[in-house]
Amino acid sequence: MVTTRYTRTAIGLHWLIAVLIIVAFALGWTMADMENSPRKLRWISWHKWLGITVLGLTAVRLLWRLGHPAPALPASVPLWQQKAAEGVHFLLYGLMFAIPLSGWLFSSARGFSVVYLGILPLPDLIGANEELGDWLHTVHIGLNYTLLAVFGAHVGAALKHHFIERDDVLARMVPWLERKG
Amino acid sequence: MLKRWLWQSAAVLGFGLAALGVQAGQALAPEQSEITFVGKQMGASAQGRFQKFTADAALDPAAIDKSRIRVVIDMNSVALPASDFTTEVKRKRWFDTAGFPEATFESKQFRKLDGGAYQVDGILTLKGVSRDISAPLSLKTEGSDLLAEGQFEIKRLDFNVGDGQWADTDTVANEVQIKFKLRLKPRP
Repeated sequence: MVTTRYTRTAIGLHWLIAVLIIVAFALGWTMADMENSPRKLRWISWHKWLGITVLGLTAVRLLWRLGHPAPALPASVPLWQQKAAEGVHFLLYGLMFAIPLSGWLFSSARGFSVVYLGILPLPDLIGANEELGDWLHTVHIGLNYTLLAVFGAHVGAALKHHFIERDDVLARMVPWLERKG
Repeated sequence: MLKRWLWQSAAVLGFGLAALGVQAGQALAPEQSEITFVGKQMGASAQGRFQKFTADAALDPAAIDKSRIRVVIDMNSVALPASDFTTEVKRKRWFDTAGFPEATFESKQFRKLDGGAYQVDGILTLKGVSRDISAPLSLKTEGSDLLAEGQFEIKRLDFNVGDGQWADTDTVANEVQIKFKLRLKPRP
């Protein structure tokens, strides 16, 4: 029998990481323009902790995926779309690693160590260097805009499959949406 | 005649000062000295340093009870790794470097501890607030130089550093570690 849906672990990781990314993105977006305040410092820390969590969970997810391949797309999906989907997923994985890493590097360059959950000090990836820090900040933001665009394509395609093509592509990740028959 | 008399007087004065020894005292070698501080925000350390400070000292391990030091820090020379944070700590709510451009430490007494270490008691004046502090330190002689090194902890709120909303110590800890490494050279 052909697997038609992702494993429960993959589904759980997908949605958990999705929520964490959305919260981290919203925090990052908002805090960037905030005046210095204790709240801003708290948000920056929460943002970092979320990012490190995403980085760790993405590593777990990738390892899981290596042992549990994604279910095939329905044969009705044209080849170019299958390739595009592959490309988008590849990009998403890359960004889920690159974005937290660029943030961690940025934090190190700013002279602030990341202390995960305020308890576990993570090593500084590079020494304090203000110019490099400014550059990494730009990279971090650029990668996030890229993520926003790729995320748009990912969600748009999922919704198109579900509401226009009315197939079970989205149901592979949301089991209760599965169409009977 | 007068010239000769002046030379003689100068020589006598010079010998006199040299004989008094510690009276001539020591001055700071700024490029080989450092004063840094480490605070914590949300559990993460953040370090800063002062780039300009001077010291006037008569520090002698052999005459520790007669030793003294006075350190003056130029608060505007504060530097954090990121320039926006340097600007932030100079603001009124932190160091208020415009209102209080200098911080000073003036020793009251030096003591010798067991095991070759020393302790200095003195008054730290920061942001217009003077408080007694006590710091352990090591004294090392290197040639004619004396190297004084130590560290102590202050509570920033004792000196109104970070007032208003920043008085919240859950975000920025109250405890700040001050580390100093002062190389003192005998005055010529």
